[in-house]
Amino acid sequence: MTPPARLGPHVLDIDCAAEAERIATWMVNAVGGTLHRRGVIIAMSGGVDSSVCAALAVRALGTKKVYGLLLPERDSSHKSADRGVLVADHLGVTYELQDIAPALQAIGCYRQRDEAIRVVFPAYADDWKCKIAIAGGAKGGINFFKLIVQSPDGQLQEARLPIREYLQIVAATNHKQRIRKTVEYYHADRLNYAVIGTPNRLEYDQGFFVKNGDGAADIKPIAHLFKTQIYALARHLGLPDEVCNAVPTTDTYSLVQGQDEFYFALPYQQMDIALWAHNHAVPASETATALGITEEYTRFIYADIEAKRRTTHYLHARPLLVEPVAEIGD
Amino acid sequence: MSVELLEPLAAEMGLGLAAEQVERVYRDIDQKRRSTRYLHLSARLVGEVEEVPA
Amino acid sequence: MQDFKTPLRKFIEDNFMMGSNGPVFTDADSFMERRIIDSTGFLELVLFLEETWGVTVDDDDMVPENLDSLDHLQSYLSRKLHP
Repeated sequence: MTPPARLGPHVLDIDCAAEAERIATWMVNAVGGTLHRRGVIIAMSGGVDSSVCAALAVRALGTKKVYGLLLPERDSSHKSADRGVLVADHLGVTYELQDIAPALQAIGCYRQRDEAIRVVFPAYADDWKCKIAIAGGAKGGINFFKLIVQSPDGQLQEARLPIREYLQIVAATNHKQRIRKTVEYYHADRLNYAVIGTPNRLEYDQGFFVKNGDGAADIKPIAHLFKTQIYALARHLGLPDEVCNAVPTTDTYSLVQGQDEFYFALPYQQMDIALWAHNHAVPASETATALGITEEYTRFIYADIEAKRRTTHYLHARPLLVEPVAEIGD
Repeated sequence: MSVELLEPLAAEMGLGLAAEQVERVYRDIDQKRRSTRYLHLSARLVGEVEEVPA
Repeated sequence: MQDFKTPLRKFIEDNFMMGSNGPVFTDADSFMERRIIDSTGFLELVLFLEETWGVTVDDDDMVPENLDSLDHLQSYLSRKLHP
């Protein structure tokens, strides 16, 4: 693709009215025509992605065909559930709140995660907080993960996570997304509804989702949109200010964790432009100027985008078969 | 396949079914394929994300 | 000089290539560029180094110059174990 004359936030401008209409029309055809479902399920975290998806669903199908789910757990921010209720009430959708902490407890999510944490920090207890942050790669090194914990007195400690403990923490934490999806599909099955997945383009492209967790869905109405564009849609659709102004977090760990700490190389406003620029073959020098970062770091980001595409390709892949079952087709 | 051909075929296969029953089974197979096709579909997108192969 | 490359090559072939039927790589080949080891794989490699030879791989050691080829690994382990 030909690079634009000048790179800047304007490359992500969209006609919000037209885009909202396009998505709404598409949703009617996808849900009713392709999938033959009667409505949609939307898990509402209070974040901008799920809020915009809910608003688009209401616009497309009406409030009676949209069923909202609020699914907090032990480590969720209270603000998330509050914003989820705010959005559901604002849109007028029927919703249900189900605390999934007991289910996560039963399946061993918290125990398995904390077991791994205690290998690194033996004193870690229930009243401590934790998060994971990525390190190394951005400085030209090899990526590794740091575990950051906070004791009740507020003291922070951090250490590199050995591979076994890193994988166990991620695997245990992935229960959260998978349990949520289990609940969503329960309601989808009982109502004969389709499940909405809410990844934005950066998350979809870069594999920032859990296989058979938040990666599972029947429709993904905003997977083609950059986060910047989703915020624009949120304002256009008249969503509450608290949603339109919220900073994205993973809302997965008890310490607040930005997506750029854990997975992406930059905050979303810059990462959107970097991804767009990379997709449009913009030279690193030009992107670096536009983003106010070094050309070396821009080249790292471009390489990181490609590396993440490669390593997360399997998250999108269908199950592999020995040979095609022709009658099932694609 | 015609009903006339189905009956001897069903007999040959030891299914102990009349041709009409086999025909019903064939229709049911096709009906199930149609109604469960969505289980095999990947999530529907508004627009292709070219960088992620479909 | 202690040979680290042979056991390392075997580890890499067994763990990342499902045996030695995978792509052929030289001692100088970059694991990253040849896409033999991904980011999770490097963490597995670090664990292998620590468990096999008792070294401590510090955060600052996590650089391609130390870990990104058999030649680099040979030099790195030699320095760590025979300073």
